[in-house]
Amino acid sequence: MGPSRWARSGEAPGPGSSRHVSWRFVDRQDFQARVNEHIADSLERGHWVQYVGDAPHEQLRDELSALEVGDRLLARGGWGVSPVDDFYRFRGADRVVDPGRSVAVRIDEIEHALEAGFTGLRIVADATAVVRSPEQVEAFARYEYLLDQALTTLPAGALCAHDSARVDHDSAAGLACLHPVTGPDPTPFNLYAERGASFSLAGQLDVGCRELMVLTLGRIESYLAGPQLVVHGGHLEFIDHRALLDLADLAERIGADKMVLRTNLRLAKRVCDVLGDDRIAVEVGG
Amino acid sequence: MSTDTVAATAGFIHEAALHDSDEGLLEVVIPFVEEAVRAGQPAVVALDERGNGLVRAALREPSAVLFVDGSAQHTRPADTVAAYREMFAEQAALGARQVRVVGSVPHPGVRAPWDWWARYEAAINRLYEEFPVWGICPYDTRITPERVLDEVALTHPFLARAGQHVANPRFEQPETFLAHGRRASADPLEQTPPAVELVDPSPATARQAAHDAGRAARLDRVDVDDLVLVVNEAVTNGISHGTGPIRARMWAGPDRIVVTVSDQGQGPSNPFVGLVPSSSSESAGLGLWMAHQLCNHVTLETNAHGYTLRLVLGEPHLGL
Repeated sequence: MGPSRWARSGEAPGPGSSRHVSWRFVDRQDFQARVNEHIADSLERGHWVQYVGDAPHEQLRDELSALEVGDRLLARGGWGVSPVDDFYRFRGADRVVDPGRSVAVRIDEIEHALEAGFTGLRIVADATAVVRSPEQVEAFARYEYLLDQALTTLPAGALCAHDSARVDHDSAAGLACLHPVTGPDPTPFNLYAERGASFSLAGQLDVGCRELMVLTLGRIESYLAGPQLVVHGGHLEFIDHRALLDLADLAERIGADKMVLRTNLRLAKRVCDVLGDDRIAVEVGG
Repeated sequence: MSTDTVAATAGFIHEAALHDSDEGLLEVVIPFVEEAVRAGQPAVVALDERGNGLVRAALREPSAVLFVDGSAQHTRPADTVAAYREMFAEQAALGARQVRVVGSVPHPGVRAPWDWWARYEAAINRLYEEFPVWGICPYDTRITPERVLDEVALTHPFLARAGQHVANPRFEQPETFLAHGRRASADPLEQTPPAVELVDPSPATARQAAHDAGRAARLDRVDVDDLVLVVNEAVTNGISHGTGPIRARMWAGPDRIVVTVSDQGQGPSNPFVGLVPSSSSESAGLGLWMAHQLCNHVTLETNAHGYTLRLVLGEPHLGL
């Protein structure tokens, strides 16, 4: 099954390639198929490959070499394996990631990959072990947001996978929606980084996902600041007045005087005109 | 209750004036307006073009009166409420002791649907009561349908006759008039098989069906968007506040789209819902207020079978 939504800007997406992909795998076979795709794409692009999982180095190496693309990767070189405890920086015990420190390490790793002569870095991670508890999910969602911001300007990509049998639906949706590209995940919308905007929104924003939307905005709120909240909606398919008002409320909380939505969705402009809320501006592009 | 007692009433004085001739109209309107002019108080006349012309010609000092295009002022009740409330607030801020208004409310006799204007006539007894306003609503009995006249009698606390202003014994408090499942006029299209019938649809499913129905009916893009928006709001309100099953039906006629969304609940508890914006996006109010701005007619009906919201885009059927 291919990705369910390509809600991204920049380079044209293709199978197995992407800046930042969330994948909720149903079994190991599904996971391995995705890993295989991403590594094959990394080889084509000349990326260093870092494979991450909740296992010792030796087991991760074995998993990597057992892949269809394993021989090619091992022959080329430019790869590493990391147990999750080495890969992420944690706040205290319980494997709760420290979002800022973990992303800082990623940025260093990208630089190292470039210094070693590769064109960039590809992270292929089974993050299940660090998104089990509510505290872990809260922290990891923030990590995903910050990582996505970093990936807009750096030559890198990431497959963030987790096991559908061990991560509940709501937690999975909360993580998936912070990626520009999602697999067969239960998120009706995507919130992701885009240059020139506070963030981008894609998909359908209606009452069915309002709770998730409000939760997600709360998770990223501390990373945003005024004077305007600029939201790109180039891939927005629907937005209701509740979502527009939720964005306006977010703008107010971060000290912005306005929420500006830039979109091709004329319907959003219609909703804005009817609402007549000074805090909201919808700019419809050509 | 005498004219003097009516005139001394604080807040909003809401009066109907039934007439059966131009002379009958002017007998009520001219003294009413000229008294305001003599007292240096604002007077507004918002009749149709012909009515405004008659009044203007009969006034001694027409330039002292603000004439407003009544047809534009009374297009959709939610817009009308917003426009009058803004006008009254401005006049109050300028120090007006009382604003006098003569405004004609549409009905099938002038080719407009009645149900939402009946709600308007009842609701404004509350929605304007904070303002010092005396408003007269003239109805020409030669062209006003019987049911409209009956409901005019239930929604106006005062009646104006030539030289007299008296209390109306048939007046019902707006909460009473609006609370108990008002009968709303069904559209004849509803006697035909619907183009779309959905049971317990998700908002996304309902939006897609509305989009397809709008395209099939060859609506322009803006109208398709409006249809999608109002259907989304109606179904969302049903899911959020109603009692299932939610049934959404759509009919496409040559000049209109009719949508009904029903559930087995009692409908919104706020009798004025849709006519004024709700401050809370949690309630059904904002969605219904949007529907009142985007549709050409909206009715809310509660009966023994539950609650039905009816939305019309295009030319509403006028029958009562």
